[in-house]
Parts: sequence; structure tokens; C-alpha cells
Amino acid sequence: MAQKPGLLIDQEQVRHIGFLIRMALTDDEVEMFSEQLSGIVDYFDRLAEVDVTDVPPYRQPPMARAQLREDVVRPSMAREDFLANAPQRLGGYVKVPVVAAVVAPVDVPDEDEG
Amino acid sequence: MALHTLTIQAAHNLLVKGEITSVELTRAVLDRIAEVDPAVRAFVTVCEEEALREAAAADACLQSGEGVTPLTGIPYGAKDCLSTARVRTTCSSAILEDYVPHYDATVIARLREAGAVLVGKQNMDEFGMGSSCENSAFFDTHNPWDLDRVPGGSSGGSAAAVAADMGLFSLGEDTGGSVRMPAGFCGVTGLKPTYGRVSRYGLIALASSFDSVGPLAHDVHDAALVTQAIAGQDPYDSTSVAAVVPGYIAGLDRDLRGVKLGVPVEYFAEGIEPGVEAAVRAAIDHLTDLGAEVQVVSLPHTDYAIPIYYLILMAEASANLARFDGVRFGLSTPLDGGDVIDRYLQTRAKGFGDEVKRRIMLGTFALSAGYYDAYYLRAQRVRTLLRQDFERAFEQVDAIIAPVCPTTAFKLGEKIDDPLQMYLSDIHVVAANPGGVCSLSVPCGFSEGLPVGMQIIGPPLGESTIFRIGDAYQATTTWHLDRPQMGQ
Repeated sequence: MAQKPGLLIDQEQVRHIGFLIRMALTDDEVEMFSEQLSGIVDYFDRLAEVDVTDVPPYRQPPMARAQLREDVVRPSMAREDFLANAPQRLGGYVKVPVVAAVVAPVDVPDEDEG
Repeated sequence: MALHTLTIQAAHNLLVKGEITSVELTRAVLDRIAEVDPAVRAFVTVCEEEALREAAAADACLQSGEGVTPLTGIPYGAKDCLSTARVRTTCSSAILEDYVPHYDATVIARLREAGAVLVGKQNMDEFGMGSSCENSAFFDTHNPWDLDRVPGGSSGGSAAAVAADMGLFSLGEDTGGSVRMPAGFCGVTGLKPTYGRVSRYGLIALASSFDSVGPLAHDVHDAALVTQAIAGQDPYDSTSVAAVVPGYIAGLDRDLRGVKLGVPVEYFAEGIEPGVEAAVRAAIDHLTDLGAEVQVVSLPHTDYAIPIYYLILMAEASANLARFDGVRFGLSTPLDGGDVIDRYLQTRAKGFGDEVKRRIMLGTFALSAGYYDAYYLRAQRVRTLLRQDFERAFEQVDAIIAPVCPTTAFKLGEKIDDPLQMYLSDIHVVAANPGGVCSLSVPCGFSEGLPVGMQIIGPPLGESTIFRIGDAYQATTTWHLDRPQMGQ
């Protein structure tokens, strides 16, 4: 696909980020996001003007925050409450797609080795 | 009497005298929603049955006289990012379209305990990402002052609901102007409290170091009443502030002699509409007449507020939104076949809108190896300078006066195709969140028939000060009394 030269975030980067964030992108989206994100990052680059020598990153101002709660045993979320929002269930469980698959024969070492 | 137009204070007086009931008041608000919401579209969900049941319980409480609070029997709406037990909570996103929490956010629980009546959940930009309410996955909300214009965002439904009298107040959420900006565009009063002053438990997170829950109401007095009910330490939010919540109503004092106000030069720079500048300058003159002393202050890093805010927000949001994976709740596709990676890829592609996708991508970019120092870390360093600007200003003044927005409400569709232009509309509101301060938005006039808002910005935990200034202003002006012409 045609690509404008000199974009700060090119189409290859958009595809890479799309995979990192687990989001499928169409070719049209890759083209659109590459241009839009590049324009936004170009604007953000004005931060480079600021001298940040010896300036520490922001920390929340010192203010007394809530103390940790007492660690008291109490009933946890009821199973039916939890499952009420599950997209798919199997009895009392959340059903999920295949997470691990055998992609190559497992090499089992001989018992007398090592 | 048009009950739906009452302030909280006025309704409370009638309720305790027995002149009206909460059921009548709630019925009036529900009828108003039925009448004008087809045009405004502020509500994603209206919970009529539950509301009338809660109103009847409030009436029983009022009759017994036991445990009556200033909010007993008062109908309100909440932004749809606040978890409500057994009431659908969507964040105006397709990915949460059918999500029903089984617990209340702390702020909702506190209002429930105070006897307030929840009438519905309000439309917003998806996950709070937007400045016009046009990023809702469901529909646009319209500005009651001009239906061709946006209500502002992201708490657009919450502001439009108050402006059109569909609830006596709303609970919104402000991550970078999301209460103040729509309050300004819709001519209502809105507060962004200091970070940590109000619990975030049960708020569906956008940017965890900025998110602040705050009220939208008809006037400062009502906003202070609601803040009083929701503020304070929460054992379920370890970032909530332990400091005692002062009596906000008792702290109202209409004599402003001795109060020092700062006007930041950077907030009246290029790009501000003449009608907006004129209204805010007239408000500053009015505050001077009330006895306040005004001086010019400088917030030199204002120009960097947008990149600081957006970079940090995007980074935090990219992490927060990783939880939406189609496994435990929310949209999930495809349900048959495919492996878990395929489920993630398709669910997130289908469940999120373009603006959410842009921000997750840019946040991931800003945090990634090779870019972290130049973007995320640099933004956090410049944020330190931005906070120091406010600290220096508050050594000289008690509060800072600024416009809410450089313009009045823009037209639907005007900026939606240009994400950067949409970000720039937040230029006057974003600094308060990374800066760690609190800010109140109050109506201060009109420009070509559209409301103009003024911000009263206070130091950390300075809510009492800004309420006092806002209340003194409203006691001697009428801008907050004007209502758009809608329905009967």
C-alpha cells in the first residue's frame, strides 16, 4: 500500500503495535492510524524544547493517603455473580478458547540421561 | 410547579415540609426525560422502576424524619463509567454494552446511603476518551442550548441532563476536563475535586493517576452539597486522601474582601474567542467588585499541558484497557473456533472505537523500548514543572480564574475527523489534572447565544475556597439561572 514518506509512525510500526496490544487492524486502518498517530506525535514533540536537566519525574504530592484495610476474612464474590457476565460458561466455569496447543512433538529424554 | 427544574436545596425544603414527595419529584424528572431526551439523548439507560422504588423508600424516610440528609429523595443521574449494582454500566463502549456490575462504586453507594434516587446512566465519550460525546459507541448527545452542537465531553450526557432538567444533579468524572468542559458548554456548574478527595473505587478506570469523580449541578451550593456526600477517605481506594472533609456549606461566605485571585496570562493568549474573553473578563471585574484583589500570574508551562496530559493518559489507559479481552466479561468474538490470541485480536478490534484504538496504540508506543525516555518519562518530568507553576502561583494567590474553553460549544461533526484539533479544545482544562489541583466551572455569560464558562482553580484540597468564590459570584449574578428553551 502507498505510504507517505517521512511519517513518524510508519505502517510497519502500526502493525507491530497492533499485535502488541492484541488488536486486529485492517489495511485501511493501518494507513489511517499511521497518518493520524504521526500527526499527533509530531505535536507532542514540542516537549523536546523543555530543558528537563535535573528535573525529577512527577511524584504524587505528599498527602496522607488512606491506610491499608485490615486483612479480614470475608465472603468473596459469589460464583453466580461472577459468571453472570462471562461470555461463555461451562457449568460453573468460564469457558475459554484453546490457550496452549502442541505445535511440535515433545522430545522426552531417556531416563538414564543427566 | 415544574418540579424537575428545582435546585437540590429548593427541592429539599419542599420535601422536608411535606409539600412534595420524592415520588412526585422523581416522576416529574422521568416525565421530563421522556419528553426531551429523544432530542438530547443524554441517557444510555433509564431505570424507572428502581428509581420509583428508591423514591418511595426516601418518602418513608422523610415521613419518619429519621436519617434525612440534604439529598434524601433527590433524583440524579450518573455517568456510565460509574459501577451501579444490577444496573448496566457501559462506558458507552460496545465492549461493555451488556455488562452489569454486581456492586456499587463507592460514590454511588454513598449517594444511596444519603437517600438520593438514581434515575439513569448517562452517555459519554467511550471510556472517557473525547471532548464532544461523539465518541460514544451508541449515539451522539446534543447540546440543549443548540441541538446542532456538541455538549462537550467526556461527561456530555451528565452536563446535558442537568442543563435540560433531566435530574437535579449528575455525577460525572474528570480525567482532563471531562466535568468542567461539558459544564462550560452546557451552562451548568461542575467540580473537578483534588485527586484523591473522592474515591475511585468502582469507577471504570481511564487514567488512574488523573481520574476524579465530581458533581454537575445548577449552582455551586448544590455542587458543594453533593461533594460533601461523596468526598472522604475510602478503605477500598488506597489513593483516597485521609484529610478530614471540611464543612463545605458552612464555609460559604459571600464577602470576598481579602481574597486574592490570579489571572494567568497564558490562558488569554491567541485562539480565544472574543465573546469568551469578554465574558470571563467581565466576571473577573465582577469578582473585584465583590472585594477580591486581582493580580496577573504566570503558568509558563501551559503550552506543554496537552502533550504532558495526553502522553501520560494514553500510557495509563493502554495498561488499564488491557483487561478487556473477551474472557471474563464483555463482548467476545468469535465464540466458536480460533485460539485465544484470535479471540483477543477480534474482540478488541470489534469492541473498541477509533479513538480508543488510537490512544491504546499511542500509549503503547510511548511506553515502548526506544521511545519511553523521549515520551513517557519526559512527559512526567515536564509534569513536575507544570505542578511547580501552580505551586508558585498559589504562593501569591488563593485561586486562579481562567476560561473553561477558548470557544463555545462547536458543531457536531466539526472536529470528529481531526483527533489533534479535538485534543486542542481541552487546552484550558487539562492542566488541572497533571497539576494536582482542583477546579470549579461556573457559567459566566453567553457568546452568540451559547454559554461561556469560567474556571475557578484552587490549590490541592482547596475545594472550600473555590466553592466560596463561586457561590459569592452566583449570589450576585444570574447566568446560572438561565435555562435552554426545551419542551413544556
